Amino acid sequence: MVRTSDMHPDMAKNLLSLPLPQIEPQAWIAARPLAEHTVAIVTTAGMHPSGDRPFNPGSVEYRLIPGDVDFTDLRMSHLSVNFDRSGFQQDINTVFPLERLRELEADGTIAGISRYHYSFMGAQPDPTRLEQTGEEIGRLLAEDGVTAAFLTPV
Amino acid sequence: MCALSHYIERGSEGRVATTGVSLIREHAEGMLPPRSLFVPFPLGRPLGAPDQPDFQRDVLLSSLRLLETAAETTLADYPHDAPTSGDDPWACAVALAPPEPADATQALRDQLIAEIRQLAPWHAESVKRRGRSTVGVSGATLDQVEGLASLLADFATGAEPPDGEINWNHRMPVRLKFASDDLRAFYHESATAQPGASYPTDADLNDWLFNQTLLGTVLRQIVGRMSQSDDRRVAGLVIGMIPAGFARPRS
Repeated sequence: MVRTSDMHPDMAKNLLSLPLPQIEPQAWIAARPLAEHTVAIVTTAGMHPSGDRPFNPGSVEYRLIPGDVDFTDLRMSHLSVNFDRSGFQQDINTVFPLERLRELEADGTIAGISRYHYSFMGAQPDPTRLEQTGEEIGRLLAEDGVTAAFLTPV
Repeated sequence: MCALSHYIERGSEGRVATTGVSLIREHAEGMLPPRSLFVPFPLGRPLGAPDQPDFQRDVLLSSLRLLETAAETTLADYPHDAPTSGDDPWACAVALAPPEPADATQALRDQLIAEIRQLAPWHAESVKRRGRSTVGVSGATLDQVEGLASLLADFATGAEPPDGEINWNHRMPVRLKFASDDLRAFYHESATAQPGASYPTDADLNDWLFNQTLLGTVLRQIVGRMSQSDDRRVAGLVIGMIPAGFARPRS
């Protein structure tokens, strides 16, 4: 079990001091069967293809991860010491479960996988700075026929 | 992450529903993303554990199922802890015998490089088994790992690091942070190259690196030197060099 109460006190204090802005929720998107969904992954792990620019701390940019990306080409430039990178180093699915998603597509659990996935930098001192790029991603995903995004932190 | 859920749904004008996992329950409680699954896993392991495909699939599916069941803002709790080795403690297959770090720059370089060469066969095995390495965010290529050690030895002993042949992605002093993280990645990948019944947690690997390798001792020396620097850019890097709980050697 890992909760903030189990963490090193300095780390827990740091995490619990981060601002939690209140964002007005949107109209509820009705539930529908998983088998009808085309799914994209959106990660805040600061991942990117090796040839792409590394993230700088606090960056609100995003990087594209193509749906057919070769895992050997993925890097992570989010290097906060507050989180463990050894899981990612051993198996990228620990952070970015694209191979698991491919299995769910293959057995018909989901309808399909997005052509593109999106990566952001985590540890944002002010999450509201992601508003513009976050909305842009929503528009791009919708125009690409994606119906669901699986968001994963690090 | 929680904020992005709201912004993505807004930008999609109701066409893209979001779900996800949360590693900090208090953050999800405070920002209320539409659908989220709290997972009681270490930071950095949102799907639970490496090389555990069945467990990862169950975590992913538990979150995705919220797309077909949630009728209002939902924060669910994943009921299982991440798999561990249980009572079988992990130990690195390579028995390093870290020396007292040398005071002289070239001698410390040689010591670090000797340690890297002890791990190199296992890193080669890691690359063979996994087909990749995550080393490289500093700009160094895999065959330049010893150049990373030289940079750290230079800084640790007060020498002025030359640019050398590495095509660095960052200037000094930020270069130190990325070089040390690339070296830690090299060590972690080497230490986990050998598949076995027992596998390390993040705490196992940190304990090994910071208490049983020369690199761990040198990283502490570097942090000590950074802390005394008059350059605020250098001093500001201190908090990003060593995980909480490992700033001092285990007694």
